[in-house]
This record gives sequence, C-alpha cells and structure tokens, in this order.
Amino acid sequence: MTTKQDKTIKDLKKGETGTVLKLTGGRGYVARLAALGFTFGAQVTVLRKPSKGPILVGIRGTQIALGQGEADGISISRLDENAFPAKEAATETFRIALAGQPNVGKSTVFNLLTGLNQHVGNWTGKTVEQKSGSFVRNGTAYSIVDLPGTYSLSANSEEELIARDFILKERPDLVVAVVDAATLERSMYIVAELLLLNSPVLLALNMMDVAKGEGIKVEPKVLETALGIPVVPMAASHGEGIAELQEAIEGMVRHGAEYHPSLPVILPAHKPVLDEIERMVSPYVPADYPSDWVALKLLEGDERLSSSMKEQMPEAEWKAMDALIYQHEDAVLDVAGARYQWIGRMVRAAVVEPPVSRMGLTAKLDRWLTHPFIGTIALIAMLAGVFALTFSIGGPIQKYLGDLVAALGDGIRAGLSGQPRWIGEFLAGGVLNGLGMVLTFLPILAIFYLALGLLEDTGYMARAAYLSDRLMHGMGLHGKSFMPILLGFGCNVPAVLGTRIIESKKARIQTALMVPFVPCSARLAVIAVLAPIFFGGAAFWVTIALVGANLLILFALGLILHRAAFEDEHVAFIMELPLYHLPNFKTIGIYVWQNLAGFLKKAGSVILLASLAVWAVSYFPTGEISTSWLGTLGHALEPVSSLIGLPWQVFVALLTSFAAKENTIATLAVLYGDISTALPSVVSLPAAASLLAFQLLFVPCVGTIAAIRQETDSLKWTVFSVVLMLVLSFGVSFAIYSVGSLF
Amino acid sequence: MLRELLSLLAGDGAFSPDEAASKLGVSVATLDDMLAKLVALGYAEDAAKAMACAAGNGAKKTGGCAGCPMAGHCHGAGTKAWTLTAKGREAAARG
Repeated sequence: MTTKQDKTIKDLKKGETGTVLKLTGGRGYVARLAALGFTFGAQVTVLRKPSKGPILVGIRGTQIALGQGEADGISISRLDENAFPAKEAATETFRIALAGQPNVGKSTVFNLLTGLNQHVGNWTGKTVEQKSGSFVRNGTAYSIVDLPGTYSLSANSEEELIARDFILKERPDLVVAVVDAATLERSMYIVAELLLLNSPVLLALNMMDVAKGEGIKVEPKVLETALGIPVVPMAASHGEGIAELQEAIEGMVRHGAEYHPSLPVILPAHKPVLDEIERMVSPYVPADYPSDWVALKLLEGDERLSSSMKEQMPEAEWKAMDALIYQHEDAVLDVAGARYQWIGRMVRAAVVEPPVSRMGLTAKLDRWLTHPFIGTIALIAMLAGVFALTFSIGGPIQKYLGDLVAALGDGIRAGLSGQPRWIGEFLAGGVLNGLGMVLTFLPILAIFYLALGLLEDTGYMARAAYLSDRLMHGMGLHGKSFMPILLGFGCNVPAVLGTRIIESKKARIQTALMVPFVPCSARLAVIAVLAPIFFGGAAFWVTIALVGANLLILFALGLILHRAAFEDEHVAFIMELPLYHLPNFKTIGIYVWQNLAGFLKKAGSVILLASLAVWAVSYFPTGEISTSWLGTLGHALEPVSSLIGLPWQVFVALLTSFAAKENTIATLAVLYGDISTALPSVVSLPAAASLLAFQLLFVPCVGTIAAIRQETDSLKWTVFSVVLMLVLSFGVSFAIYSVGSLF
Repeated sequence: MLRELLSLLAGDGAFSPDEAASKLGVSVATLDDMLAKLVALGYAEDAAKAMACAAGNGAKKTGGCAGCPMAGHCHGAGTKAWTLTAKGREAAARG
C-alpha cells in the first residue's frame, strides 16, 4: 500500500478518502474530535470542499462539518488512487477492542499497548469516557479501543450497552478480554457473553503475579485448551506479557490463528424455543446483529433488544413471539445458569486453589461460633456478657446519678422555701424527678449500645442473626419473621414496620403480634435500673432469668399462633457472614451517639410531658398524693394491683409506660422521690419479681401499637395484641407473686 | 445452575455462603455472582436490606437504630440475607 504521510484532511480533494493517523491540538480539542469519531484508523471521506468555509466530511456513517483549521489538525494517510483497493487497505489497520470487568487491570494493559499514542474523549452522545490508541508492530497498525468496564453485556447500564454495541456494530477484528487470574471465576461471565458475538476473542490472563502471591495456581495452557481460544498470561502492572499479547494479537488477526471456542451449552429443552424465536426474528434483525444471539438475548428478557425488535417487527408477529417468550420467562435461569456452569468447568480445569482457606481466622472462629450447639451457648454467653457489663459498670454510675438527682431535688425545695409550695414541687418533684431520673439511664444505655456496637462492628452480630434463625426455625418461626423479631431488641416500632417484608399476610400478622414480646432496649434499661434496687448483687441473675423466661414465652407464643391460626411460611436464606475484624471506634461512637441522641429526644418530649402530667394529677387538687386525682384513681385500682403484690403507686407507674417504657421510672420518681431507698420498703421481693415481669410483658408503647395497627391494617388484631399482652402480663405477674409469697 | 440455587432458596433454613456453595458444588465467588444475577433478574432480594428500608421510618421516629442488629445496613455494611422474592417463589414452584 502506498501512502503519503503527514497529510491532513485539508489536503484531500472532494471524494478522496483517508485514514486518521493522529490529531494535533490541545487536550480538550483532541478529546472533542475523538468524541466525534476521529480516532486512529477511522476512514474519512471529503464530501464537499469549498475554497473557503467548512469542509464537509463523512466518518463512521455520519457527516461532520470541519473548519479549515480543524481539518488541518487531523493527520491522515491518503489512499492513493493507484494503491490497493480501499477494502484491502483497510484490513491493514486492524481494530482491537479491550473488554473486561472493572478492576482487572484493563487500563494498564491499554496504556502499555498504546504508550502515549492514545486519545481520550467521550462515546458519541454519551457521558462515558472513551479511550482509544494505537500501536504498530511489524509494519502493521493496530488501533485499540478500550471499552467501558462491565460485568456482563446485558444492557443493564449505559456502559454495557456501549460495549456490546461497539462489538456488534463496529465489528472489531479482535476482542481482547482482560480477566483477573486471582479472581478468575468473577471475571469470566463477560467472556461467556463475548464468545457469542461476531468478533473473535483472545484472553489476556492478567494479574498472574497477584494470583501467585495468593497461592492460586492458574494454568494458562490448560485454560486455553478448555476455552478453545488463545490465552496470554500477564502481569501488566509489572509490564510482563505485553510483547506476548501483541504477538498473540498479530497471530490472531494477521495470520488467522486457530479459533474454536468452547461455548456455554443451552439446555436441550430450550433449543426448540430458541430456534423458533430465531426463525421469527431473523427477517427483521439489523444487519450487524447475529440472529442467534438476538434470539438468545430475547429469551433472556433483554429489554433493550426487545423494544428494538418490537419496532422492527409487524405487530402480529411481534405479539406471537412475545407470547412465546412469556411462556418461557424462566428460561433466563437456564441460559445464565449454563454460563455459570461453563465458568465452573473452565475454572476447575485450570485453577488450583491453595489448600488452606484464605479466610483464616474467620473460618476458624466460625467453626465454633456458628455451630448449632456451641454457637448457641456462645451467643447466650455473649448476651449475658452485655448484661453483666451493663450491671457492673452502668448500675453503680446510675445509682450515683440517681442520688445526685434526689439531692438536687432537696436543694431546689430548700431554695424555693419562700415561694408557693407547688413551684418547688413542680420543679423538684415533676421536672427533676421525672426527667432527671430518666436521664440517669444514660450510662446504662451507653454501655448497652457500646456492647451491641462492638458485636455489630466486629462482624459477630451477623452470626447471632444466623444462629437465631436456626433457633427460631426449630420453634415454628420461619424465614423472614426472624429479622423483625431481632430488630425488636432495639425498638419494637421499626421492628413492627419491618414486618412489611413478609409477603404472606398471615405470617405478617403473626410476626407483628410477636414483636411486642421482644424485650426492647427501653424495657431492658428500666429492668437494669429497678433490678439492683430490689435484688442487689443477684440483680444480674434475676434479669437473665426474667429475660430468658420472656424469650421462652415469645417462642411458645410463636408455636401456638403458628399452629392455631397461621400458615407455615417456608423461606430459606443465604446469609452473608462478613469477615471478623477489629472494631472501628469512630463507627461505634457514632452508633452509640445516634442511639443516645434518640433517647434524649424522647426524654425531652414524650417522657417529660408524661412526667409533668403525672405530677399534676398526683399534686392537685389537695397537694397530697393520697388525696389527689391520681390517688383517687390509684385507690380504685388497689384491688387489682394488690393481686400482683404492688402498691397502687407502682401499678400506676407501670401503666404510664404505655406512653414510653421509661416512664415507669419517671413516674416512680415523681411519686416516691428517691426510689432507691423508697421502693424496697414498699415492695416485697416476690412483688418486685412480679413488677419486673409486668414491665417486660405489659402492653407496648403507643408507638408500637400504632405500628401494629398500620401494618396489620386491622383493628381486630391490634385489639387482640393489646388484650393478649394485658392478660399475659397480669397472669404471669400474678403467678410469680403467688408462688413467691409461699416461701 | 441458577435453578438449583432457586430450589435451595425455595426450601427452608439459613445457610452461610460456604454451606450454600458446597451444596451447589460451586465456589463462594460464583455463588455471590449467581445471587447478584438472581437479584438483577428480580428472583431474589436482600431481605435484610429490604427490612432496614421498611423499618427506616420507624427508626427515624424513635431517633436511631436503637440496637438494631441490622443497623449496619444504614451505614452501608451490614449482614446480607438473600431470599426469594414472590417472583422467585413462583418460578421455583413452576420448577
């Protein structure tokens, strides 16, 4: 071929054609021209060339007007009229596409192949960056286009569409599929798809150094035999394998190396359908598209191709084909499944994984921590540890703060002795005792959340969820029910809202009815404050026993509801268990703070208002509790409260937990002042146990009830939930008090 | 291969990725990819994420994740629990 080099488009006459060699100008200018299609190897024909003004050229099927200066910046090789025919001349500039997943070192391979001879722009009409370049080997030019990194060619994203359209429409002479040898399985899906298109494929097996470092042995020759396409091992980051890649490219496109790819096998059951679809679409398939590929993609449910073919085909034929595809809508599972099977076969042949699992510590720990028996014991020990930490550190601090609040109250009363009595009582008895006592929860909650945050951030909580599902499964609770129930340990409100993920209405109602029986953090905090007041050093064990009994009731209820009223919903999970890792204290700090901030917000609103209301009805109209409005109501309730061994004041405090669970403490503080000293003298030990059980099982807060109403969409089930909890809380407390009083 | 995974998810119980991969005779990496494919096709979903989203408004109302074991999802790194969607269950039932 004879060419006259160092010419520009401006040197071409009307009707002459040249091949773009390079662009001259600033980076932005070059990028703009490249985006218009003026990349290495592109054929450009002058359509109109006035002596002044823009030159009209044809390139890549479109017409573009170039200024005289612009045309002078595009160097070309002109096709001499005495040279070989244009078609043959064009084959001397081979076009290569680089394809592959993101992060497999594709850009490094591109840079090494092209050196500085590259252009950056955008794909025409897209915001996706296009990089193209070239290299020359043995006198032959190769233009390289770096396709966007994609996981497949399913047109799920703009990048995938660009990559597949380029291969289909531009028909490069070769596609170099770059894969990561260290994660070969993950890189191969796109290769399985590339092999179905109309350009030959060469595999650049990159990152061999990384694979070797991880003890993974990859056999390029075995892979080559299995795939039936050339495989070039590379370590592009070290510049290794580039010369071999260039040689293989040359061998493929210039010398026609052997190419017999092994393709994923479509199930025989789908072959007739596939053939039928191909028969129906083939008259209408665009010229660039292989009809067997179009048929396969339509069977896979490719929306882009589907809408394109809908436009191309007569309506009746389209409808017939669409109905056929609809009948086989799950065929995609077999088509994609065959690719995974193919990947497995290829990788098993060529890759030897190290004998020892790379997960190391995680795998070793999980052998025990996810074991059905040992793991369950560990889970119980872990949760007991959280309680122990809360009691041993948070308890004493809370008691100190409680004493401080009581002393402050006395100080306020003394300081305001000259003022009307109700002012001092309002500030000390209402605001300080109510809100102040609740604020003394902060250390307990901080430790509780810190411990949970640690378990979450180290990766253990995922194991707890995994084990819990197994436990609950054994107790008649299945699948999606267990997650809202776990969520309930934090707060029942989002847990009830989380039941929305359960499609079956019956299972959703069953779970929503069970969630309020999960002891939420607010209930647990109240128990953590009250238990030491009555049980001192034994508080930890009493709490463990009560929470354990609470969970048994929860599971028993699950079984009963499941058997009596609700259907069995079988749902399986594959639960990701993240690697164990050292905790990040900033993350945990944020988690603790977010939860404490939420608590403070609640304390400053719902709890404060409820405390003030309780104070008002316990002070007015006489200034004495026993003769106040609340006292009158309390005395009326005494026949009921005495059944579970509680003074009416304590019973009323429990009832106020309907607004928010923490209100039990706030009300007790309003009514008794220093609860640490007052309560043990008015509540016996059996009554104390009954009180704690009542606190755990009583009707949930108003927010949870509203959520139950919303999610069950049923007043009947909402009332059932409230009545069920009332009956159970009272019944269990009565039983505890009655039995305890016998000793 | 995806059919086998669909059948596994249409059964009962919780599996770790290691267990599931071993049952299907594939590597964990392939299992991850197959799960992602089922999610992309609408046959499966990350139920933990779906629940975190459903509970999100409630969590906001109560001022935080409040000890939620799935709280990590709100911060972008929590437990993933793949399960079938209604479409997936229908496909599994069709066989």
